[in-house]
Amino acid sequence: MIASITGAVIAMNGMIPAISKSSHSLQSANEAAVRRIGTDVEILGIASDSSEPEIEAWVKNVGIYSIGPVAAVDVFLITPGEGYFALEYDPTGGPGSWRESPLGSSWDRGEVLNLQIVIPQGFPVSERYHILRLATPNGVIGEEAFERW
Amino acid sequence: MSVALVTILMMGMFLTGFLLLWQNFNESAIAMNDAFRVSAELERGRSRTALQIEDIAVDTEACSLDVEIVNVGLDPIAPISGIEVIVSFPGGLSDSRVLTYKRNGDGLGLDTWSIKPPYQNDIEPVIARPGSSLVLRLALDLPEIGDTLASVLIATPNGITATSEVSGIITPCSATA
Repeated sequence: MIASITGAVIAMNGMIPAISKSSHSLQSANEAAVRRIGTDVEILGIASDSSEPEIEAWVKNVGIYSIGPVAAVDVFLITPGEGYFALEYDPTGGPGSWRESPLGSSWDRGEVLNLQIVIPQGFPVSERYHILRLATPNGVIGEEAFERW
Repeated sequence: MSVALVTILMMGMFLTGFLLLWQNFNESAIAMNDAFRVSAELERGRSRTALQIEDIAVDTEACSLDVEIVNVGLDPIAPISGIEVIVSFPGGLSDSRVLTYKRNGDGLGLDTWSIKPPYQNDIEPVIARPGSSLVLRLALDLPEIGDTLASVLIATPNGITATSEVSGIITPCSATA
């Protein structure tokens, strides 16, 4: 009898933490999914002068959560049929980079983030139409086509 | 006796595990449901919001633009102070800028926008009802010579935009009122 009870207790001690762990995993996955559902961005406008290497964009956080860290946002420039450029976050503004203006801006619900983009080397400047795509740190994508003046 | 006890213990264990998982699923389902509901409400709000720039008048003396906007959507636009106004100058020397909202009577402000009251001493509206129009006064500061073309972008608080271009701005100029 003692052996049976001991066996049962050992089994309990082994299984309950496992159940609890899988329960926590489910909870974490669910929280991530909930955050993703509630995250949304809208690219309001893009200003791009063909004589300048800089592109300026304003992106509004239209979701229900803050987005951050801002430096973890992924920014891409796409020229259909020509090229796809992943830009690096660089507060100094080197070629092929982006930064927020002013530096250190937060991106809370309802706030507009100003992006200053420096076009990369090899960017097809002669092409008129391009696409700006950005992805938040949790993978929500905003995309907008624009024309260089 | 021992078999019965072990059975009870095992059943207790399975019941505890089941309750733990059930509680977790339940909480998750509620959280997921709330997120879907709020997200759907926001999306529905955006699909019912529409804005149109009806007219832009240039006041060269005051270095300002009077932008008439019409709420052509089904929902009110609120709060009006949450509207974003962005002005850029295609091919010009001046930098693009986001104008800040200024209440009427708050004094002079460069690169600001305010609601132009239709009548003097009118109460400033806080929402734009469907079908109603508003005139936004954009007070600019343009020290560079040669920016005659401006692109005005107006965005509602939920991110719906309207864009229009205007020419005839004589620069350099700076808003004085």
